[in-house]
Amino acid sequence: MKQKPQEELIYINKTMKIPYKWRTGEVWGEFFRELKENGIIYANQCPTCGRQFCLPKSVCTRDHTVCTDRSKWIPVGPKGTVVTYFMAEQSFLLPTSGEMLKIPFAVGIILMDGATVILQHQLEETDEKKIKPFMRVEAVIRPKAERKGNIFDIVHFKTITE
Amino acid sequence: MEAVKKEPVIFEGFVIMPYKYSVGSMASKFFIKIRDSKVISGAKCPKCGFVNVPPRSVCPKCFSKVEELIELSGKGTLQTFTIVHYESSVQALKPPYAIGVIKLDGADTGMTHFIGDVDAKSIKSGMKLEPVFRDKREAEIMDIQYFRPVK
Repeated sequence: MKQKPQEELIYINKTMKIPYKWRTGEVWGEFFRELKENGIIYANQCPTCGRQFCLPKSVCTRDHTVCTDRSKWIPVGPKGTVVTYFMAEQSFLLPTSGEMLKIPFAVGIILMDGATVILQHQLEETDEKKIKPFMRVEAVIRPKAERKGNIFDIVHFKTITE
Repeated sequence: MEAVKKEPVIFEGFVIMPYKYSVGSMASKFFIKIRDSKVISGAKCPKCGFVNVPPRSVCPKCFSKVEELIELSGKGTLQTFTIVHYESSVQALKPPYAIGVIKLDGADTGMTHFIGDVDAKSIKSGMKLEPVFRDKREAEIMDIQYFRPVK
């Protein structure tokens, strides 16, 4: 079979940077406001079933009660227990930074002290062998000047011994 | 019952999307000709003779396979245009700018591109235009910087 001469093929390489605004809503707005201004992690409580949600919810997932009563907000943590975890094994593009995720990357399913419903966040520990069930962790919160009012104001959860 | 404060907390961020796409065989030849020779070409259908710019490998009129590129003068007629004032981060130029459909001499389709070197109020459909090429060309559509009125 006669081979065609190697033709030059053109590839277009560009980066799109699309700005967005996300209105976080009443409940998450309040959570982020407290985290940014006071460095406190809050949970809110359902008046019907009594469960404490951290991250706070505006509607209880069990009985659908509206949970916007501010007097039912309680500070939780900064310590918690890792109930379970998962490891990211494959890197992918993070749309917020345009960079690839640094692996190994561990996400802990954490029950904050005082909360009944879990939150998930990055663990400082990246060695899977060192992550034990029910290990104790503590939230590492960014210094006030660097806080932006989003979940990354909690940098990650570091392992503590208690 | 004191409800949570109603003032919204608005998080502002960016979604950053690097992308790479291969333009294909016909478009590669089109861009290479612009980059190397400052010549705009069209695809001529061997069956019905329809010339489309930018060139495609399937004729949009009769769906025959097209492999032939013909060189065009680059000059053309402005079919329609608009002046854009709205600003967004995904634009190639900062507004205000004029963008229009130009039917090149010898082509049967129009191509979209910017119109420059002219006062916005003087732009009229039917104007004769010619391309202005960038000095540093990289085989992409902006190697044609804009079209300007023929003097």
